[in-house]
Amino acid sequence: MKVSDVEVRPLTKSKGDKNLYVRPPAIEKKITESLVLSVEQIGLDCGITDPEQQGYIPSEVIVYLLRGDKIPPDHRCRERLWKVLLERVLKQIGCVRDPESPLSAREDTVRTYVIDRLVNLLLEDQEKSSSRLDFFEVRFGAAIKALETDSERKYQREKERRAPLEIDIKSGEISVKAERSAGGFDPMDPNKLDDPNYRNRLDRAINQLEPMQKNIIHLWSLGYPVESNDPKVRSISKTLGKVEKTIRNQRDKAFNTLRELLREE
Amino acid sequence: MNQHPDHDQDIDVLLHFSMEPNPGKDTLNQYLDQYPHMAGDLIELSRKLLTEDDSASAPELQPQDHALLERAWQQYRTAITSKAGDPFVSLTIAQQRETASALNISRAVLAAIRDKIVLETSIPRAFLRRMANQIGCNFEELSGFLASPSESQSAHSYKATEKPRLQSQVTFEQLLIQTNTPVELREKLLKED
Repeated sequence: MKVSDVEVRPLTKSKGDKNLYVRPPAIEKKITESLVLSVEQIGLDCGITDPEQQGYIPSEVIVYLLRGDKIPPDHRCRERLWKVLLERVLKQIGCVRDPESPLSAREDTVRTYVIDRLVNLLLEDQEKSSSRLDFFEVRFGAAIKALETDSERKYQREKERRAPLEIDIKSGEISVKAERSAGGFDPMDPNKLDDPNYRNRLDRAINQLEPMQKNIIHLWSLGYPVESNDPKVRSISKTLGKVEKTIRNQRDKAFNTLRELLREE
Repeated sequence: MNQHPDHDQDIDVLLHFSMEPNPGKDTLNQYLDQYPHMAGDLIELSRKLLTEDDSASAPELQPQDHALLERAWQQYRTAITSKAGDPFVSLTIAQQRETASALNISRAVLAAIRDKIVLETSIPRAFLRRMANQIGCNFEELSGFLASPSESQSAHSYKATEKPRLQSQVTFEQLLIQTNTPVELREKLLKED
C-alpha cells in the first residue's frame, strides 16, 4: 500500500464551538506513514524511545493504532504498543521510583487510577466506538494530565474523608499552629524564573504542596489578586471560596514550604 | 468502571480544557465562569499544562511497574480477544436499531440473540441468513458465533456432563413470545425456513 492510498479515520469529538477536533498535522502524517508499514515494523519501531529518532511512534499514533484493526487483537505487536504507551504514562506522571524510595500513597493511588481509567477508555472504545479517546489522539500528554488531575481529586476526597483537616471547614480559617511567616521569600521572583534549572526544581517542589496551596500558588503566578473589591475582577479568594486571611496564610505557608524544599535540593 | 454521570461530565470538562492551546489566565477564567464547582481541578490542570514535561529524565521501570503493566495488558487482551469473531461488536447503537428494523424484530430480540440467550439451532436458517447479510458477515460466521459458548457458559462448562446450555437459554419462539412480538409477525418469522 502507498501513502497516497491511505485513509486516516477522522475524529468525531466536537469542541465547545461544535467544530470537530483535528489532530496536529505532524501526528496525521505519522499515522499515514505507520499505516503503510508492516505490523512487524511497527512492533520494532515502538521500541524507539527518543522522540527525535527516525521511526519514533508518538503516543497519539499508538492510540490510533490500538483503536484500529490494522494490528490483530492477539498479535505480539499490539502487546508491545500497549506496554510502551502505558510505560510512557507512568513516566509522565512521575510514578516510577527506584526500590529505595517507594511511592507515596498518593502516587500509588494516582497511577493505579490513571492506568485503570485509560484501560477502561480503550475497552469502552472497542465496544462502542466512544469518541472520548479522540482527545488522546490530539494531545496525549495533555489528556493524561487531565486524568491525573481527576485522580488526585479522588485521592484528596478520600483522604479528607478519613482525616480531620487542619483548616476549619466552617469558617474557612486556618488553625494558629498552621500560620507561619514566609519571611519575604518569593519563589515566583521573575529573575529566578528565568533560570530553567530553577524552574524545574520549583515545579517539583510545588508538586509536593497541599492541593489548595498549589491552587493559590498557581493563581498567584498568573497574576490573580488575593482579594478585589471590583466584582469584575476574579480574585483568588473568590475563586477558591475562602476568606482573604486564609488565602494569605496559606500562601505564606506554601512559600515557607517551598523555601525549605528548594534549600534541601 | 462505572462512574457517576456527573463524574463523567467533569472528566470531559478536564479533557476539553487540556486540549486548549493556551491554558493560561484568559482560558482559565472562561472555564472557571462556566464550571465554578471545578475550580480546584481546573487551576491544578492549568498548572500541570503550563509545567514542562520532564518524563525523559524519569528512571527506568521497576519490576512492580512491569507487573502493573502486565496486569493491565491481560485485562485488555482478555476483553479484546473475546470480542474477536463477534460479528455484532462493531455495530453502533444506530446500526443495531437499523438492523432490528430491517429484520422486523425489536432491539430486545436482537440483543438476546447477540448475547446468545437464544438457542442457535432454534433460529430459522433463512432468518439467520438475512441477519448475517444485514450485519455484514457471512452465514457460517454468524451461526458459528451464536453456537459457541458464551463467556459465562465457558466458565462453567467443566462441570457439565452434556453439551453446555445456559439455564436461561430459550428457543427463538419462546423469545418472541416473551418479548410480546405480535402473533402474526411471530408466525412469519418462524416460517422463514
